[in-house]
Amino acid sequence: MSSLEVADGAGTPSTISLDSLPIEVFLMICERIDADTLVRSLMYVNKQFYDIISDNYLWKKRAMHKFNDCNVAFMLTSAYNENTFNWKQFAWHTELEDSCWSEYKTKTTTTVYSGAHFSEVDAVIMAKDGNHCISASRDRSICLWNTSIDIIHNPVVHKIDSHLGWVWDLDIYDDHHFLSGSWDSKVKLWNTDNFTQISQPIQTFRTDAAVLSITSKENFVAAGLYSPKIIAFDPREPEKRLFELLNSHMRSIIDLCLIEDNYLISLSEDKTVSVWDLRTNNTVKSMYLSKQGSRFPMCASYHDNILFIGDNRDCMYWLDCSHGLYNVIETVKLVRPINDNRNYKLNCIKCTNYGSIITGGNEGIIYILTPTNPPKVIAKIIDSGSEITSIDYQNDTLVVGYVNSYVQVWKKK
Amino acid sequence: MPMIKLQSSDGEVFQVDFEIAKASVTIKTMVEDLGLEEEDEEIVPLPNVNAGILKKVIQWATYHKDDPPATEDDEGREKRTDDISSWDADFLKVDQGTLFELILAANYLDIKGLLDVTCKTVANMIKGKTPEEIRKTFNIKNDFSPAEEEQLCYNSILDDKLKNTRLKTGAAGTLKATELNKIFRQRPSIEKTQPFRFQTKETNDLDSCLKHNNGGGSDVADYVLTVENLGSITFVMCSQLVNNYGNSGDQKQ
Repeated sequence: MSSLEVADGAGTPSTISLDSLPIEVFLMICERIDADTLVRSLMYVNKQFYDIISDNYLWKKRAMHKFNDCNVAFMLTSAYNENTFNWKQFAWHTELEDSCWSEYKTKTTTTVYSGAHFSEVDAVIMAKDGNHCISASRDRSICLWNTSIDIIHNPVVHKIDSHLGWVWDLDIYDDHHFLSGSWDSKVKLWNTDNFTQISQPIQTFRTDAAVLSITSKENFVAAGLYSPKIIAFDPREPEKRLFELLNSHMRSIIDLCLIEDNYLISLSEDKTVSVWDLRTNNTVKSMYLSKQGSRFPMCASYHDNILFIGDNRDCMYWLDCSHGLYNVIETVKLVRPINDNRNYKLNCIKCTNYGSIITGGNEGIIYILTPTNPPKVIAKIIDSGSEITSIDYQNDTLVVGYVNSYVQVWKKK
Repeated sequence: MPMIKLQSSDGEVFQVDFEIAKASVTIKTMVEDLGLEEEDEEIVPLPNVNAGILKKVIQWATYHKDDPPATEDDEGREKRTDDISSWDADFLKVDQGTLFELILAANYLDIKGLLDVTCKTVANMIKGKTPEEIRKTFNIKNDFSPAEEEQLCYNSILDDKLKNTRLKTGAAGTLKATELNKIFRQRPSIEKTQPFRFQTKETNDLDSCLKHNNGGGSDVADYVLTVENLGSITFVMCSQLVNNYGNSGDQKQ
C-alpha cells in the first residue's frame, strides 16, 4: 500500500513516516529499540503503535530470543500458561536488569555506609519510598539511612540498644511500620515514620528463644526461633499467641516466608522445608531439598509462583508454589572454579522481578543472575570482599549488609 | 565486469556493476531466475524505487561492496544501535522522507546491511524520547481521546510500579469497589516519581494477587483491596482491578 507512495518522483516531499511504514518494517525498527522506550514511550504515541507494541506475541518472541537454550524458572510452574504469561513484563524486566547490571560500574552509583555499626550487620531492608533503608546489627542497634544521592548526614537515625541482644532480622510490616527480631528473644514493631533515637516500639512480642527470622502480613507476625519453634502473633493483641508450631522442625528456624498470605514456609537447620497452611492449620508438606546430608536451606525469596531457596553449599532450588503444590522443580548448581574445595554458603537471595536473582554469601561476592538454569551471571560484584549477610532490592535500589559492619547501596542511574 | 541495467519507477535507467547490484537479494534472485547474461540488453525494472532513492542505494552498495556478507548470528545477540560507521552516519544525514524511503527500498530490494543501518538510525531518533517528542519528531497525530489517554497514563504508571515493588493485599483497611469509583472520579493528580509501595507480599504478579484475593472470580463489586493511607498510585491499582474484572468474560482484547 505505502509502496505506491514511494513512486513519487525524486525530490518531491515524501508522505512516508514512521506511522505509515509497513508493519514488518516498523517491527524491525522496534527490535532495535530498548524495551524501556517501547513500553514507556513509543507505545503511547498513537493507537496504532499501542496495538502493535501491546501484542503479547511480539514480547514472547523478544524474550524467547534470549532464552531459547535454558529453562526459565517462571515458565516451569504448573500455573504457567504460554498464552496468558505476561511476556511484556518479562522481556522488559529482563532487558532492564541485563542492561543495568552488566555495566553496573557506569549505570549505578554506589555508597558505602560505615562508622555507625561497629559489629556485623545481619539484616538490611528497603523502607518507606525506596530512598530509605534500615540495617540491624549485632551491636544491638538499628540504623535508618537515607539512600538519596548527596545526603551527607547519615544515618538519619541510629537507634542504639534497640534490643538487648544481636538484632538478627528485619521485616516490613506495612507502609509505616517495620519489625525487628533479636537474640534477646523479642520481636519489636516500630513506627517507620517517627523512628528516632528515643522512640519506643509500638509493640513488643516476647518469644521463648533467640529470634532468627520474622515474616508478617496484616494483623499477623510470625517469628522463627533458635529453639525449633514458630510463634505467631496478632499486633492488636501482642500478649496473646495466635499459634505455636512446635513439631514442624527439629532444629532452628533459619528463614520464614509467607506465600499468597495463606502458606507459611519455614526453612530449618534440620535440612527440611516445611509448608504450613494458615487456613487449615495443617502442615501441607515437609521435605528435604537434597539427599546430601550436609546441606540445609539458608534463605528464600518469592516471586510469581516460585520460591527461590539458597542452601549452605551453594545450590539454589526452585520451589513451584502454584496450586499449593510446593514441588522442587529444579536444582541449580552455581558454577565455581574447578578443583575449588571451598564451601560456598548462600546467606541471602532476592528475586523481586522477572529479570534477576541476586545472591550473596560467605564468598563476599554479589551475584546478579538470570532466573534460568543454567543461570547466566549478569554481574559479579566484588566490592568490600567481606561476607554478605543480607540483601534487599526494591525500587531500583540494591542494599547489602556485610559482616564487617558496612552497609552498601547501589542505585540505578 | 558484467554490468546490469536497473530501471527506477520513474523510468530512469542505471547501469550498475553486477557485483554491486547483488547486494540486493531481490535483484540477485531476479537476475538468476531470468538467466540474464552479460550482453543482454534486458532491463531489470524496480517499480517500487524512484530514481533519487535508487541512486542513493547504489551509492551505498558501491561503498559497501567489499563488506563481508552479513552473518546469521542473530540468535541471542543484543541489537546494538551505537555501532553505525561514520560513513553510514554521514550517508544517512538526509531528510526523514528520504530515510524512510531508503528503509522501504532496502526492505523491497532485500539489502540486509542497508536495512539494518537505516532502522538503527530511526531507532536512535526514538530512543529516550517522550511520546510527545516522538509525535513531534515524526509528525504523528495523537489519536487517543483524553479519557483513553488518562487510562493509559495510569496503566503506564502501573507498569512502572509493578516492577521492583512489593505488593501486599489484606482484609482490613479495605474499600469497596463502589467507594473506589467515587474516589477515582476525583482524578487524583499523578506524579510520575511518586514512590509507591504496597505492603510486603512479595509478588509483582497482579493477576495471581487478584485471583487469590478474589477467591478466583467472585463479583467485582465485592472486590476489596487494601487502601490504607492511599496515595494516588493505589487508586491506579484499584481502577485496574475493577477494569480487569469488569471486562472479563464479555469482551477480550
